[in-house]
Amino acid sequence: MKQKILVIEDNEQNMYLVNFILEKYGYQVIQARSGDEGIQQAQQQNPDLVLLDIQLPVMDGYEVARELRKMKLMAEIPIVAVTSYAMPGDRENAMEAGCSGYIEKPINPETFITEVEHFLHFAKNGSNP
Amino acid sequence: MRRFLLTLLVILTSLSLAGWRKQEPIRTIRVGVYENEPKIFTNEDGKVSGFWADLITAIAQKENWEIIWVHGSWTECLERLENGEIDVMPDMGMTEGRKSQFVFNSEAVITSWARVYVHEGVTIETILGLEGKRVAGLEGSLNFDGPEGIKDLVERFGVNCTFVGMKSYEDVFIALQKKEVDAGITNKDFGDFNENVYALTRTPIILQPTQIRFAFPKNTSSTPKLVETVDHHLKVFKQDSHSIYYQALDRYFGEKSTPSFVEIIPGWIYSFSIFTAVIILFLIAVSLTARKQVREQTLELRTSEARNRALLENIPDNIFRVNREGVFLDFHSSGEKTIFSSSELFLGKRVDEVIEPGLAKSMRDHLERAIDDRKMQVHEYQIMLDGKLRDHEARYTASGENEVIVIVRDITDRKKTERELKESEERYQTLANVAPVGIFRTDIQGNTTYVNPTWCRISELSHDEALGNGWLRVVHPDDRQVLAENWKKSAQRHAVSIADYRFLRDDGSVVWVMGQAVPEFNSDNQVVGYIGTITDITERKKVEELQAAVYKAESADRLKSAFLATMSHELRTPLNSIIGFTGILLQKLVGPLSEEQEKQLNMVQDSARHLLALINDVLDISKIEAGQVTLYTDKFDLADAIRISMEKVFPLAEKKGLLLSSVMVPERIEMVSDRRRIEQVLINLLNNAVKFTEKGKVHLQCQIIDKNVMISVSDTGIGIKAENIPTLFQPFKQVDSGISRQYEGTGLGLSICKKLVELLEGEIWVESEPGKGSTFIFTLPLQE
Repeated sequence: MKQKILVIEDNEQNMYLVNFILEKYGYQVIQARSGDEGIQQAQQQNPDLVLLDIQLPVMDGYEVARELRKMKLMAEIPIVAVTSYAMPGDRENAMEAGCSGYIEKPINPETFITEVEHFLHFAKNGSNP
Repeated sequence: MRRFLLTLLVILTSLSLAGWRKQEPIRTIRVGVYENEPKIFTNEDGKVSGFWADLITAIAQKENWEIIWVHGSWTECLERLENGEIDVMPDMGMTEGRKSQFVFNSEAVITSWARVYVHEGVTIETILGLEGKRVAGLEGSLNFDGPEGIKDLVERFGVNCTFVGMKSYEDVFIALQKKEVDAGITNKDFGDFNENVYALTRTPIILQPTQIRFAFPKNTSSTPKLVETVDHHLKVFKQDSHSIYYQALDRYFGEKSTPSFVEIIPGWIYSFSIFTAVIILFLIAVSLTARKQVREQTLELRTSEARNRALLENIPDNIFRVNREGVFLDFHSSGEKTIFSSSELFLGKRVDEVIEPGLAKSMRDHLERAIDDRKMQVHEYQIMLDGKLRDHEARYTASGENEVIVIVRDITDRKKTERELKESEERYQTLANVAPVGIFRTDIQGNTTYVNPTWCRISELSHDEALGNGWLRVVHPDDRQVLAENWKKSAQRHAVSIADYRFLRDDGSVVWVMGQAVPEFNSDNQVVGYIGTITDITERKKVEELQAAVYKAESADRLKSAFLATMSHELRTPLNSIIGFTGILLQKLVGPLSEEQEKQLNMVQDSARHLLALINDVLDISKIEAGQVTLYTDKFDLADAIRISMEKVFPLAEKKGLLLSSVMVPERIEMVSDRRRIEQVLINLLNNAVKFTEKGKVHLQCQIIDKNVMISVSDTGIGIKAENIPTLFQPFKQVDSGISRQYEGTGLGLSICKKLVELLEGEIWVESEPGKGSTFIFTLPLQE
């Protein structure tokens, strides 16, 4: 059965890129353009992994992560932060908010899928590749 | 039919008989009699006579009535009439009260009034003349006890007199004649008849003009018939000038009776009554006003009396009369404790005999001076009284050549207050002198009148220099305006003025002071000046300035930080697409690529990656420059960091066919530092080494020297010319710009390395030989 990956990303091109790669490698992608939509989709769709853009407008990524973590069904699901990591402390903040790990932006198209699968296999407590 | 008529006759007869029975004829009447000659009385022969007696007798005769005379006193007759024990009472004054008690006949019979009598030679003209007199009257009579009787009138006038009630009018006159009373009131008829007998004078005081008629008991059955009959006859009598009515009048009252005299209250009585009534009202008014005035005046007098008394009682003075030699002649005390407990102790004695010598001498001196200089002498002294030391003030005033009046007052309390005030003043002075704040006072215009030593120290002005407007001189010119306004505003509102301002001292130094000033009020609550303090707050100001600077810097930092974050994100986002999509295409995930397509796409991707590297480096160095870099210090194994860095570089080295090696002494080195940054430096140096070496090897050496670790990265590359070494670590200073394109790189790497190493409290330098190779060395403390 295809694994579901929830992608929460507000940038169109970024979403297209990630969606293309994931689908190419056989994953079902659920798209969400905002934090709210993301939370909604998580509840309804029960994804196996969440790719969360930290730099979201309105509800920032950390908050989304926190909200997702509050949900029972998300307890064991890896939430991977996708971030530019511009500022010191970004990494720590993400971990504190409940992220299982992070992938740096801009994504490396060659290694992206490997990184994602790493998280899928190591689930919530997986370490960064 | 006949039977009916008979029955009717019987009925009619019985009815008429019944009716008749109702109208049973009067056979006897019981008439009340009291002694009141000539109105009604029993004569010597025992026959009841008098005006009223004749009248009723005449009527009775005509009616075939039998009269039963019922004798008694006036009061008894009234009672009997009330109870219906008699059928008619003659000589009844028809008053409102009596009208409800009894039935009066309708025809006027006679009018009467009461008169006040005095004994001969006495003149009492009005009711007011009765003030303080004893007045006799018939007890129970209308004119005495009744409404609008003498007692009533006297009270209304506010006249005080004593009333003596008598049993008969005779008694009244007897008492009056005997001078037991000053005045007596009787019915006029009695008076007319008897005044000469008793040699009494009638006064103009008359009261209660009243209709005198027959009175009948209310509830007796015979009354209506009686009344009707009496009225009938009276009417007839009055029309006949020769009737018994007029005869009786003549006989008993001796007046030439004319219908007009009796029939109606004579005109002159009316006008006289009205006139009298008016007079009475006027007199009542006058008397009331007079009484009010008297009351007010009495009150005033009493108040002023009380005031004076209070004043006198409160002069706590003792007054002595002393002669020149000092002998006490006279003494008056207000009651306060005096020099002596009793005047016997000193009256007649000399001052020296009674008061201790020192004080006595002083008193003698004052006495003499008072007389000689003819000027009042004031003498303050202390004297022991009752075991307590008292302060006195004595004033000596000469009265004549040989006498002095001395007024002595105890001023112990005043002196005490004065002393306390002085002490308080001194304490305040001391306080002002030692207070660690500057204290100043100004007058109402703001001119300084006083400054304490601390103030002088702060301002570096002397006390005198500060006075008046002097103090303004030291206020910093920039602050003068503001300060002046602040003062003015506070003064208007009588509020505290608080302001921070500067003193500019003569030597140019600036002192920040916090000044507070409040208005000073006198006992009338008027502003008389200002009093305030100044506190040196220079230190505080410095701290404040620093804090402001820090805040400013932090704000700037925050701005920088936000800027960098935004730039970072914004710059990287488009690159995501470029690198991402070219990557996908190059992976042939979208479909096959021609050789040329692949070539061109690779070029795009290379540029994109290069751009990304530039962005990263620029942001990195910006952060470092801006001090935005946070170091994450932790314990870690240096060997591990080295290994990771080497692994990153290995693919590139392999591609170029270079040997990559490392040596660590010892093999495990524990460090407390920012691991990530160290890795960044290592990767950078290793990358550079690989980049600039075409063949040979890149070697990393690591060892501990003292408390530091020293790492060197050496290569067998092209080396660096000596002249380039000084600027090597500067941003964008790549060796030979021509060659730089060839070797990629952003040109920032080494400068970042340097900054990072220095941040970590280390050093970095290079040793190189062109053509032979270069060695980059840096040291770091094992513990930050």
